[in-house]
Amino acid sequence: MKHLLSRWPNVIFSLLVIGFLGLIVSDHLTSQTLAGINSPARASGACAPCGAPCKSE
Amino acid sequence: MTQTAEHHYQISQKTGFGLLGLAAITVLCLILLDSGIAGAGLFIVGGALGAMFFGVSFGFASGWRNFITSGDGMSLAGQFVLIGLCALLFIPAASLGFNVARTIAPISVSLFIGAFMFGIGMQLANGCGSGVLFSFGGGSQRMVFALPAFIVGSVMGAWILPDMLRWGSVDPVIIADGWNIWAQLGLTLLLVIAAIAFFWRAGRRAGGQLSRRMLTACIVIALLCWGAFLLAGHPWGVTFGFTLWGGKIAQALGVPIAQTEFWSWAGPARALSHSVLADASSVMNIGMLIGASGWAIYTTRFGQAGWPPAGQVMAAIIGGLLMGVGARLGFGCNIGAFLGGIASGSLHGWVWFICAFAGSYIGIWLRPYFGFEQAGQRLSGKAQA
Repeated sequence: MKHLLSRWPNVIFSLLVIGFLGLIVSDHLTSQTLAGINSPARASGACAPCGAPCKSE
Repeated sequence: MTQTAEHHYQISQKTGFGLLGLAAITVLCLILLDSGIAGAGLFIVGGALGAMFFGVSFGFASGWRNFITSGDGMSLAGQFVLIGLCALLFIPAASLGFNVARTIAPISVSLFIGAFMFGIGMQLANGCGSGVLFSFGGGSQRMVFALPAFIVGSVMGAWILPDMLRWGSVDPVIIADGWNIWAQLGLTLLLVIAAIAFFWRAGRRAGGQLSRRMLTACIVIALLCWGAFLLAGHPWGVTFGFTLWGGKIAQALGVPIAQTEFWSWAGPARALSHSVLADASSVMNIGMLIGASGWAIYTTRFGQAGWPPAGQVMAAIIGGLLMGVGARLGFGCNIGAFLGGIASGSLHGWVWFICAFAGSYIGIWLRPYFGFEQAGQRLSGKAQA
């Protein structure tokens, strides 16, 4: 373990990039296609960047 | 010995660029499929921001800490210069015919609590939303702990936000609402200029200076923020991407988060059911990670800080959790709420700044307990008094 840590950035960086890439590809393959950029802030009735609705809604 | 070290680094640089290139091309192709040219543009802008932030070490957290501990407000003055430049486009853009919206958010109890928590967290973790991203990209071992904690915290924050909004909330307040758009812009710029003057004077008294390099960086970052604004249709935000990543992971692990109130709101529900590469914030975050990594490897600064001691690892985890929860309750981080909010002429940006600043005092006071060096004389003097 100590040897692995001392090899940072080589080993851990490689593992992180490969793992992250795997997650992105798998999410792409299992999610619906939108064919456009999405932001919750632009959803109808959104009153905050996260898409929280207005109190008056 | 030197030859061995150089040889070791050359392998690292080669490996790094190879992996990054593979990641960048793969992600770019998938983005083109999921979100088209606008998404690809945001990915490239994110990459440029990552390289820029890492290259000039543009840190919000350290700038605030400099002011609190030594009275040097120059970095904060620079941050307000950036905000002012962004406001020049954000406020009048919709009136000029662009299909864009400003960053607005309610003035709620959750905003006060969330921003305060965020302020504490960013000092403990040694970076804010963008700081955690570009430092992680640059190989910071500390952020290997802070980023996952940030993601977990933001999922927790998303879970409690709907209930906290019921504690008290009023709809977003636009500064000088009802005035014409140029008067709104003028008033926000006046407030921003007053902030620049205040922090610049404080910086001068403390012997600091706003370098030409930092001013140039502010202009370049502002131009990139303009680009992100026009491509995404709203100002740049970082933390919703973390919430979405956490939400997706939780869902994959069988947690029924889609049934919770936050994820049933139209925007988050849509994001959860589609690819992360169709989410503006996620696309820019991934670009920022790759851009910062690329610049760090190119300048041979990748992962040079070394592993932090156990106390600082604990601070990174606690700080990440606080920032995650705080960002959701406070409607964003230094980018989405402070920069985006103030530059959009929304009152919540100023409220966020004041509350997060108060939280930063507490965070800086706590830092020595986690093994960070003692705060500057200004703060220790006050603490002793």
